Amino acid sequence: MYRNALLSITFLFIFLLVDVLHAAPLKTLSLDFRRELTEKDKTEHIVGTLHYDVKAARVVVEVTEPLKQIMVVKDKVLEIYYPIEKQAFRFVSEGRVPLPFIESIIQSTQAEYGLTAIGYTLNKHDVVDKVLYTYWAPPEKAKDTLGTVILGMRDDRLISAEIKNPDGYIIGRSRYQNHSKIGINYIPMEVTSSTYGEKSKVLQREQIVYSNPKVNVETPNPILNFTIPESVEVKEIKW
Amino acid sequence: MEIKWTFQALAFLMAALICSMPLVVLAQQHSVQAEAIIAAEQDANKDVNKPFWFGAGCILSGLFFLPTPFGYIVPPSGIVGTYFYQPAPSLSRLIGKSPEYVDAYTSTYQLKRGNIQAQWASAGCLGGCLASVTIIVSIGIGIGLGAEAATQ
Repeated sequence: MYRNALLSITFLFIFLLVDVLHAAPLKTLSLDFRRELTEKDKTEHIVGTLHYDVKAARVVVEVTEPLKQIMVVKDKVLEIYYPIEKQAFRFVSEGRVPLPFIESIIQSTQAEYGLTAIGYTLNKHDVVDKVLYTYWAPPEKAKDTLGTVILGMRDDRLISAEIKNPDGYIIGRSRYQNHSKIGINYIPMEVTSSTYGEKSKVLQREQIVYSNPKVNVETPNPILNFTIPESVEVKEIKW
Repeated sequence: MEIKWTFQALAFLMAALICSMPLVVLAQQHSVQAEAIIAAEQDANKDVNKPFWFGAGCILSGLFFLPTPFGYIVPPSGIVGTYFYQPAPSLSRLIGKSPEYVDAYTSTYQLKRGNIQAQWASAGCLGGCLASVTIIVSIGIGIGLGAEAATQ
């Protein structure tokens, strides 16, 4: 009896510990990705690893296919380094450079997809087949350039997003699948997006599949602190 | 004699192959640059909010009514300013691309975007000027007709 109780307590403790560990705030995130982009009947594949340091708001994209490329994004600066060609670019922007990939991952973990932060307001909602659809209106001063955004949520997971232009035509649609619980959030491991032109013609189709997620690793990958070697001449461009 | 000719033909073939290698590499680089230029032009065209820049041009045309010398300085400066406002292209375009592509794409995107913005702002400014002149002439004609009717 005592042994059974002890065993139960041990299991309970392990479960609690696992839960606490999973609930820990995100510090570093690393994901392998495979991106397939189809445009004008041409498909390109890009394979690499994405490293994200939450505190430093620094993203490092390490591309391994079709070529070797390291991309570092922090604040207003984007650096691109080619280790084989020993070439480098530094783009200095006036505003904050959007973080590639990670922006959509961060947004997908937020209930409003980060829309309230940029001035969107909830217009209406409805439920169809257990999916909660919320309709978001753009801020008043941007109504001439932005349209409605429709989000689909199921079991607290963002499963779809639809973006319309001010005339009400769909210009972008994303589908989020294979969610994985990372930390306290559900991260979609597969994101499929399409952008549409006139007469609903598909202009671009993108599929990103993430794998091998690593969260808050004790010894973060040294690439998170990557800097371009001093011996390499950097071409600097201001935006 | 036959062996000599064969040897010469093979030597010529080898030389041609060796010389053509840099040309092949050059051709590949050119094709990458051409691809980047086309993509940058298309993206710039897609990214520019044309009604916005046309509207900005219309507003600039109204500034011709500012007191001298500002009326002569501000609108042309504004049009030039629309060319130099060149926001960054989407980063996703540069992921997995070669240095030649990145170089050609970014420089073309900036130039093309500035051009399109300046063109639409100029068109708006011209449209605004024409509208202003039409309104002024119409008012003038209206006042003239009114005055003529009053004197009769």
